[in-house]
Amino acid sequence: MNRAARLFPLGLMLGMALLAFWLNVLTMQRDDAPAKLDLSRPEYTINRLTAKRFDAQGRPQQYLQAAQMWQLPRNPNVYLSKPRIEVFLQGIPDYTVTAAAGRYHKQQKTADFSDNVRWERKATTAAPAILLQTSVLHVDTVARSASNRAPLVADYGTSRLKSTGFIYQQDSGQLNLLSNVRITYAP
Amino acid sequence: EKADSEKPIELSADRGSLDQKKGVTVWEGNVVVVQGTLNLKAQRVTVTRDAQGNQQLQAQGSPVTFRQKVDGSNEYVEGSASNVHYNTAANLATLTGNARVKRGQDSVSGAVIVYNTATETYQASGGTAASGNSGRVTVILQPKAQGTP
Repeated sequence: MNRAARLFPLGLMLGMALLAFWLNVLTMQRDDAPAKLDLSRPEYTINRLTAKRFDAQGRPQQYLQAAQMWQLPRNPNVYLSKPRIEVFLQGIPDYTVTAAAGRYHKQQKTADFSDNVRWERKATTAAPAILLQTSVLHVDTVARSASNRAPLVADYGTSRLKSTGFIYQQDSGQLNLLSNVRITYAP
Repeated sequence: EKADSEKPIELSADRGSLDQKKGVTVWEGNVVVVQGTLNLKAQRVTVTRDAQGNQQLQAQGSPVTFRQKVDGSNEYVEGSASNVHYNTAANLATLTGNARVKRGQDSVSGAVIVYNTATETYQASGGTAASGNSGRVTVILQPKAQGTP
Protein backbone atom coordinates (compact mmCIF):
# COMPACT_ATOMS: atom_id res chain seq x y z
CA MET A 1 0.00 0.00 0.00
CA ASN A 2 3.04 2.18 0.00
CA ARG A 3 2.91 2.00 -3.75
CA ALA A 4 0.96 5.28 -3.87
CA ALA A 5 4.27 6.85 -4.85
CA ARG A 6 4.34 4.85 -8.07
CA LEU A 7 0.67 5.43 -8.70
CA PHE A 8 1.07 9.18 -8.77
CA PRO A 9 3.11 11.00 -11.50
CA LEU A 10 5.52 12.78 -9.19
CA GLY A 11 7.70 13.82 -12.14
CA LEU A 12 5.01 16.31 -13.15
CA MET A 13 6.91 19.27 -11.84
CA LEU A 14 9.88 19.04 -14.20
CA GLY A 15 7.77 19.82 -17.24
CA MET A 16 6.13 22.69 -15.49
CA ALA A 17 9.38 24.40 -14.58
CA LEU A 18 10.48 24.17 -18.19
CA LEU A 19 7.11 25.55 -19.26
CA ALA A 20 7.78 28.69 -17.23
CA PHE A 21 11.06 29.13 -19.07
CA TRP A 22 9.37 28.80 -22.41
CA LEU A 23 6.59 31.20 -21.87
CA ASN A 24 8.85 33.82 -20.36
CA VAL A 25 11.11 33.64 -23.37
CA LEU A 26 8.30 33.55 -25.92
CA THR A 27 6.50 36.46 -24.35
CA MET A 28 9.51 38.67 -23.61
CA GLN A 29 8.03 41.83 -25.05
CA ARG A 30 7.44 45.32 -23.70
CA ASP A 31 4.54 45.41 -21.34
CA ASP A 32 3.56 49.00 -22.00
CA ALA A 33 1.28 48.19 -24.92
CA PRO A 34 0.02 51.21 -26.89
CA ALA A 35 -2.91 52.81 -25.11
CA LYS A 36 -5.28 52.53 -28.08
CA LEU A 37 -5.33 48.69 -28.16
CA ASP A 38 -8.63 47.00 -27.28
CA LEU A 39 -7.84 45.35 -23.98
CA SER A 40 -10.31 42.56 -24.65
CA ARG A 41 -8.72 41.47 -27.92
CA PRO A 42 -5.38 39.71 -28.22
CA GLU A 43 -2.41 41.95 -28.78
CA TYR A 44 -0.84 39.08 -30.73
CA THR A 45 -1.61 35.48 -31.52
CA ILE A 46 0.69 32.65 -32.49
CA ASN A 47 -0.97 29.80 -34.37
CA ARG A 48 0.20 26.20 -34.53
CA LEU A 49 3.01 26.89 -32.11
CA THR A 50 5.80 24.32 -31.97
CA ALA A 51 8.80 25.14 -29.82
CA LYS A 52 11.64 22.67 -29.23
CA ARG A 53 14.46 22.67 -26.75
CA PHE A 54 17.58 20.51 -26.90
CA ASP A 55 20.07 19.33 -24.32
CA ALA A 56 23.85 19.71 -24.32
CA GLN A 57 24.18 16.69 -26.62
CA GLY A 58 21.67 18.15 -29.05
CA ARG A 59 19.01 15.65 -28.08
CA PRO A 60 15.37 16.73 -27.68
CA GLN A 61 14.66 17.88 -24.09
CA GLN A 62 11.19 19.39 -24.35
CA TYR A 63 8.59 20.26 -26.92
CA LEU A 64 5.87 22.83 -26.36
CA GLN A 65 3.05 22.79 -28.85
CA ALA A 66 -0.24 24.66 -28.90
CA ALA A 67 -2.99 25.21 -31.45
CA GLN A 68 -2.84 28.86 -30.54
CA MET A 69 -1.15 31.14 -28.05
CA TRP A 70 -2.15 34.72 -27.38
CA GLN A 71 -1.81 37.54 -24.93
CA LEU A 72 -4.10 40.48 -24.20
CA PRO A 73 -2.70 44.00 -23.98
CA ARG A 74 -1.26 44.88 -20.57
CA ASN A 75 -2.34 41.49 -19.23
CA PRO A 76 0.29 39.19 -17.65
CA ASN A 77 -1.54 36.03 -18.66
CA VAL A 78 -0.48 33.98 -21.64
CA TYR A 79 -3.27 31.83 -23.03
CA LEU A 80 -2.80 28.56 -24.85
CA SER A 81 -5.35 26.41 -26.61
CA LYS A 82 -4.63 22.68 -26.82
CA PRO A 83 -1.26 22.95 -25.09
CA ARG A 84 0.92 19.88 -25.28
CA ILE A 85 4.17 19.59 -23.36
CA GLU A 86 6.39 16.64 -24.13
CA VAL A 87 9.39 16.00 -21.89
CA PHE A 88 12.29 13.82 -23.00
CA LEU A 89 14.84 11.99 -20.88
CA GLN A 90 18.21 11.75 -22.63
CA GLY A 91 16.44 12.26 -25.91
CA ILE A 92 13.84 9.57 -25.28
CA PRO A 93 10.17 10.60 -24.87
CA ASP A 94 9.37 10.43 -21.13
CA TYR A 95 5.91 11.89 -20.64
CA THR A 96 3.41 14.34 -22.04
CA VAL A 97 0.99 16.82 -20.49
CA THR A 98 -2.00 17.85 -22.57
CA ALA A 99 -5.16 19.85 -21.94
CA ALA A 100 -7.83 21.68 -23.87
CA ALA A 101 -6.77 25.03 -22.45
CA GLY A 102 -3.87 26.50 -20.52
CA ARG A 103 -3.09 29.83 -18.95
CA TYR A 104 0.26 30.95 -17.69
CA HIS A 105 0.56 33.89 -15.29
CA LYS A 106 3.94 35.47 -15.99
CA GLN A 107 4.30 37.44 -12.77
CA GLN A 108 3.22 34.69 -10.42
CA LYS A 109 4.83 32.02 -12.64
CA THR A 110 1.80 29.79 -12.17
CA ALA A 111 0.10 27.73 -14.83
CA ASP A 112 -3.49 26.53 -14.92
CA PHE A 113 -4.64 23.77 -17.21
CA SER A 114 -8.27 22.92 -17.76
CA ASP A 115 -10.57 20.54 -19.60
CA ASN A 116 -9.34 17.01 -20.10
CA VAL A 117 -5.97 17.43 -18.45
CA ARG A 118 -3.80 14.32 -19.03
CA TRP A 119 -0.35 13.50 -17.70
CA GLU A 120 0.82 10.41 -19.56
CA ARG A 121 3.91 8.25 -19.50
CA LYS A 122 4.12 5.34 -21.92
CA ALA A 123 4.95 1.85 -20.67
CA THR A 124 8.61 0.88 -20.73
CA THR A 125 10.38 -2.39 -20.11
CA ALA A 126 10.98 -1.13 -16.55
CA ALA A 127 7.55 0.20 -15.64
CA PRO A 128 3.95 0.08 -16.78
CA ALA A 129 2.22 3.08 -18.29
CA ILE A 130 1.00 5.89 -16.02
CA LEU A 131 -1.97 8.06 -16.91
CA LEU A 132 -3.35 10.83 -14.70
CA GLN A 133 -6.61 12.41 -15.78
CA THR A 134 -8.39 15.35 -14.21
CA SER A 135 -10.35 18.42 -15.23
CA VAL A 136 -8.11 21.13 -13.79
CA LEU A 137 -4.49 21.38 -12.70
CA HIS A 138 -2.76 24.30 -11.00
CA VAL A 139 1.00 24.42 -11.08
CA ASP A 140 3.15 26.88 -9.16
CA THR A 141 6.61 26.79 -10.71
CA VAL A 142 8.05 28.98 -7.92
CA ALA A 143 6.69 27.00 -4.98
CA ARG A 144 7.26 23.88 -7.10
CA SER A 145 3.84 22.52 -6.27
CA ALA A 146 0.97 21.06 -8.23
CA SER A 147 -2.60 20.85 -6.95
CA ASN A 148 -6.25 20.73 -7.71
CA ARG A 149 -9.59 20.41 -5.94
CA ALA A 150 -11.24 18.24 -8.58
CA PRO A 151 -11.68 14.50 -8.99
CA LEU A 152 -8.65 12.79 -10.46
CA VAL A 153 -7.88 9.27 -11.62
CA ALA A 154 -4.34 7.92 -11.84
CA ASP A 155 -3.73 4.56 -13.50
CA TYR A 156 -0.47 2.70 -13.05
CA GLY A 157 -0.60 -0.48 -15.05
CA THR A 158 -3.69 -2.24 -13.71
CA SER A 159 -3.64 -0.36 -10.37
CA ARG A 160 -5.78 2.71 -10.00
CA LEU A 161 -5.92 5.67 -7.61
CA LYS A 162 -8.88 8.01 -7.30
CA SER A 163 -9.10 11.10 -5.17
CA THR A 164 -10.88 14.42 -5.06
CA GLY A 165 -8.20 17.05 -4.79
CA PHE A 166 -4.48 16.70 -4.23
CA ILE A 167 -1.53 18.85 -3.27
CA TYR A 168 1.98 17.81 -4.25
CA GLN A 169 5.05 19.64 -2.93
CA GLN A 170 8.10 18.61 -4.91
CA ASP A 171 10.78 19.84 -2.51
CA SER A 172 9.35 18.09 0.55
CA GLY A 173 8.20 15.11 -1.51
CA GLN A 174 4.83 15.35 0.21
CA LEU A 175 1.67 14.27 -1.61
CA ASN A 176 -1.70 14.87 0.06
CA LEU A 177 -4.83 13.31 -1.35
CA LEU A 178 -7.56 15.54 -0.01
CA SER A 179 -10.76 13.45 0.00
CA ASN A 180 -12.62 10.43 -1.32
CA VAL A 181 -9.51 8.34 -1.72
CA ARG A 182 -10.02 4.99 -3.48
CA ILE A 183 -7.13 2.79 -4.47
CA THR A 184 -6.97 -0.58 -6.20
CA TYR A 185 -3.56 -2.18 -6.12
CA ALA A 186 -3.37 -5.06 -8.52
CA PRO A 187 -0.84 -7.69 -7.32
CA GLU B 1 -7.27 -17.45 3.35
CA LYS B 2 -4.00 -17.96 1.49
CA ALA B 3 -5.40 -17.00 -1.91
CA ASP B 4 -6.11 -13.52 -0.53
CA SER B 5 -2.53 -12.42 -1.02
CA GLU B 6 -2.88 -12.86 -4.77
CA LYS B 7 -5.98 -10.69 -4.96
CA PRO B 8 -6.01 -6.93 -5.64
CA ILE B 9 -6.02 -4.68 -2.58
CA GLU B 10 -8.91 -2.24 -2.49
CA LEU B 11 -8.35 0.68 -0.11
CA SER B 12 -10.68 3.57 0.60
CA ALA B 13 -10.23 6.46 3.01
CA ASP B 14 -11.31 10.04 3.57
CA ARG B 15 -7.77 11.36 3.08
CA GLY B 16 -4.31 10.13 2.24
CA SER B 17 -0.81 11.49 2.41
CA LEU B 18 2.50 10.21 1.15
CA ASP B 19 5.90 11.31 2.35
CA GLN B 20 7.99 10.40 -0.64
CA LYS B 21 11.32 10.91 1.14
CA LYS B 22 10.50 8.81 4.19
CA GLY B 23 8.46 6.30 2.19
CA VAL B 24 5.58 6.65 4.65
CA THR B 25 1.94 6.63 3.54
CA VAL B 26 -0.88 7.56 5.91
CA TRP B 27 -4.55 6.89 5.23
CA GLU B 28 -7.06 8.58 7.52
CA GLY B 29 -10.81 8.59 8.15
CA ASN B 30 -13.03 5.54 7.60
CA VAL B 31 -10.19 3.47 6.24
CA VAL B 32 -11.33 0.18 4.71
CA VAL B 33 -8.86 -2.31 3.26
CA VAL B 34 -10.18 -5.31 1.35
CA GLN B 35 -8.06 -8.07 -0.17
CA GLY B 36 -9.97 -11.17 -1.14
CA THR B 37 -11.73 -12.31 2.05
CA LEU B 38 -9.64 -10.03 4.28
CA ASN B 39 -11.51 -6.93 5.38
CA LEU B 40 -9.89 -4.44 7.77
CA LYS B 41 -11.52 -1.25 9.11
CA ALA B 42 -9.66 1.48 11.01
CA GLN B 43 -9.54 5.22 11.57
CA ARG B 44 -5.91 5.56 10.60
CA VAL B 45 -3.49 3.30 8.73
CA THR B 46 0.19 4.07 8.39
CA VAL B 47 2.23 2.07 5.90
CA THR B 48 6.01 2.14 5.91
CA ARG B 49 8.39 0.27 3.67
CA ASP B 50 11.87 -0.87 4.63
CA ALA B 51 14.90 -1.00 2.37
CA GLN B 52 14.09 -4.59 1.39
CA GLY B 53 10.62 -3.53 0.25
CA ASN B 54 8.81 -5.21 3.15
CA GLN B 55 5.83 -3.25 4.30
CA GLN B 56 4.76 -2.60 7.87
CA LEU B 57 1.16 -1.58 8.44
CA GLN B 58 0.05 0.18 11.66
CA ALA B 59 -3.70 0.52 12.08
CA GLN B 60 -5.43 2.50 14.81
CA GLY B 61 -9.10 2.62 15.52
CA SER B 62 -11.79 2.52 18.13
CA PRO B 63 -11.40 -0.30 17.58
CA VAL B 64 -9.64 -1.62 14.52
CA THR B 65 -11.59 -4.61 13.23
CA PHE B 66 -10.58 -7.26 10.73
CA ARG B 67 -12.17 -10.34 9.33
CA GLN B 68 -10.70 -13.07 7.13
CA LYS B 69 -11.94 -16.47 5.93
CA VAL B 70 -10.07 -19.48 7.22
CA ASP B 71 -8.28 -21.44 4.51
CA GLY B 72 -10.26 -24.47 3.28
CA SER B 73 -13.15 -23.78 5.63
CA ASN B 74 -16.31 -21.71 5.78
CA GLU B 75 -15.22 -20.28 9.11
CA TYR B 76 -14.02 -16.75 9.56
CA VAL B 77 -11.41 -15.33 11.92
CA GLU B 78 -12.54 -12.00 13.33
CA GLY B 79 -10.35 -9.70 15.40
CA SER B 80 -10.51 -6.31 17.03
CA ALA B 81 -8.13 -4.16 19.03
CA SER B 82 -7.17 -0.56 19.57
CA ASN B 83 -4.01 -1.09 17.49
CA VAL B 84 -3.06 -3.65 14.89
CA HIS B 85 0.48 -3.88 13.58
CA TYR B 86 0.97 -6.10 10.55
CA ASN B 87 4.37 -7.20 9.26
CA THR B 88 4.02 -8.47 5.71
CA ALA B 89 7.40 -10.24 5.74
CA ALA B 90 6.64 -12.25 8.88
CA ASN B 91 2.89 -12.59 8.24
CA LEU B 92 2.37 -11.47 11.83
CA ALA B 93 -0.52 -9.29 13.00
CA THR B 94 0.01 -7.97 16.54
CA LEU B 95 -3.16 -6.75 18.22
CA THR B 96 -2.78 -4.54 21.27
CA GLY B 97 -5.35 -2.86 23.52
CA ASN B 98 -8.55 -4.85 24.26
CA ALA B 99 -7.39 -7.41 21.77
CA ARG B 100 -9.89 -10.04 20.81
CA VAL B 101 -9.82 -12.80 18.17
CA LYS B 102 -12.80 -15.04 17.43
CA ARG B 103 -12.81 -18.08 15.17
CA GLY B 104 -16.08 -19.82 14.71
CA GLN B 105 -17.38 -20.19 18.26
CA ASP B 106 -13.93 -20.06 19.90
CA SER B 107 -12.50 -16.77 21.10
CA VAL B 108 -9.49 -15.41 22.96
CA SER B 109 -9.02 -11.96 24.44
CA GLY B 110 -6.20 -10.27 26.27
CA ALA B 111 -3.96 -7.26 26.23
CA VAL B 112 -1.82 -8.50 23.35
CA ILE B 113 -2.58 -11.12 20.71
CA VAL B 114 -0.14 -12.11 18.00
CA TYR B 115 -1.89 -13.75 15.05
CA ASN B 116 0.08 -15.54 12.32
CA THR B 117 -1.88 -15.14 9.11
CA ALA B 118 0.14 -17.87 7.38
CA THR B 119 -0.31 -20.61 9.99
CA GLU B 120 -3.59 -19.11 11.23
CA THR B 121 -2.47 -19.54 14.83
CA TYR B 122 -2.45 -16.98 17.60
CA GLN B 123 -0.70 -16.36 20.88
CA ALA B 124 -2.24 -14.21 23.60
CA SER B 125 -0.74 -12.52 26.63
CA GLY B 126 -2.30 -10.53 29.42
CA GLY B 127 0.26 -7.80 29.11
CA THR B 128 2.96 -6.73 31.55
CA ALA B 129 3.01 -4.49 34.59
CA ALA B 130 5.09 -2.06 32.54
CA SER B 131 2.41 -1.91 29.89
CA GLY B 132 -0.16 -1.33 32.61
CA ASN B 133 -2.10 -4.20 31.20
CA SER B 134 -1.18 -7.01 33.52
CA GLY B 135 -4.61 -8.46 33.02
CA ARG B 136 -5.43 -12.00 32.23
CA VAL B 137 -6.02 -13.90 29.03
CA THR B 138 -9.46 -15.36 28.45
CA VAL B 139 -9.91 -18.28 26.09
CA ILE B 140 -13.31 -19.72 25.29
CA LEU B 141 -13.28 -23.02 23.41
CA GLN B 142 -16.67 -24.36 22.49
CA PRO B 143 -17.00 -28.15 22.83
CA LYS B 144 -17.34 -29.83 19.46
CA ALA B 145 -20.71 -31.51 18.85
CA GLN B 146 -20.55 -35.35 19.11
CA GLY B 147 -19.15 -37.01 15.99
CA THR B 148 -17.57 -33.88 14.47
CA PRO B 149 -13.79 -34.04 14.04
